[in-house]
Amino acid sequence: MKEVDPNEESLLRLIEDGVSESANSLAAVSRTNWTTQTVSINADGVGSIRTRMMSDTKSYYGSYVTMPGAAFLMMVPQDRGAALAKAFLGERSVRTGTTVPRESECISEISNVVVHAIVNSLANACKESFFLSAPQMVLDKKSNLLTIALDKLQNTGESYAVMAYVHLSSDKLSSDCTVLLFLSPSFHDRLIQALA
Amino acid sequence: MPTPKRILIIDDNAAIRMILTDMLETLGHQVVAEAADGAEALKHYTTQKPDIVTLDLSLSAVGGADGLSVLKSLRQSDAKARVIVISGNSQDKVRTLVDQAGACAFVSKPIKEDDLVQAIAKAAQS
Repeated sequence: MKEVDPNEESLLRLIEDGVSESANSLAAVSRTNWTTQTVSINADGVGSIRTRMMSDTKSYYGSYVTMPGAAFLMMVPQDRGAALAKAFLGERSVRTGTTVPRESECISEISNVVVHAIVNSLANACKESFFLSAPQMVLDKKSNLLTIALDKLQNTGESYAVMAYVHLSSDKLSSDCTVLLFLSPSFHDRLIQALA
Repeated sequence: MPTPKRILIIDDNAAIRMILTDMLETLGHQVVAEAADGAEALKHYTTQKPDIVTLDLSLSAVGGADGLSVLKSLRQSDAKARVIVISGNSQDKVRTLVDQAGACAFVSKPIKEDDLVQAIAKAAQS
């Protein structure tokens, strides 16, 4: 029987906690309850996730956040963007002289908060500090957005050692939200070392 | 009711600037200016002389922690500058860096009104 590295287990548990924290953050930032439909950490390969996404031909907002050794992608349907932006802003009135925020700016800020929830828990457990890129927004089909996320990680010459897939849904907003996390082998090793 | 403060908001995201402006004005404070980047922030700070500044930690399209350099520049130009850092990056080490750079208070995103009220009270006392 293969022995499981306790640090590896700790890392996966940390990611699981971070994912759960990010779902709470999504609920807080969108003032809406979200139901977690799927959480899979290293259970599915990219191939199976891509196959699942291929049948969905709708356009999605894909918000990318990266840091050395990690790439994150949050996807929400483009046709639900306005509802999500409205939920994020709440009943705010636009004051004179204030720029009215674009839908994409609201979604970008939501993804910033959601991804930080995961990264903050990793950083604190490893007693490190991690700084994320500003969110970058792309509109495309889910499967194409997935390809871009992998490209972002592979641009640094690395593949992934950890992949987490989270799918949430909100009845109130008639929307779904998918979050993907990829950690490179070198970043994974760095985290394992820090946890040891 | 606390004394109304004149506040400068520094954040590159228009949605956050709108939310903060609304929250602060609802709390009775006056937002004297908004800035989306460091240069604009320093210009507004000099001309408006706000009581308090709210500052996002990541201000550029590149991300990272460039807000820290803005915090340091503000404190260099005015040692009494009262700055509240607002960020989704609430990592323990980052909060230490923010404290060391001279911020009066830290508010984590998503922003809760109670946290903002406490941070303003703390900044006002500092």
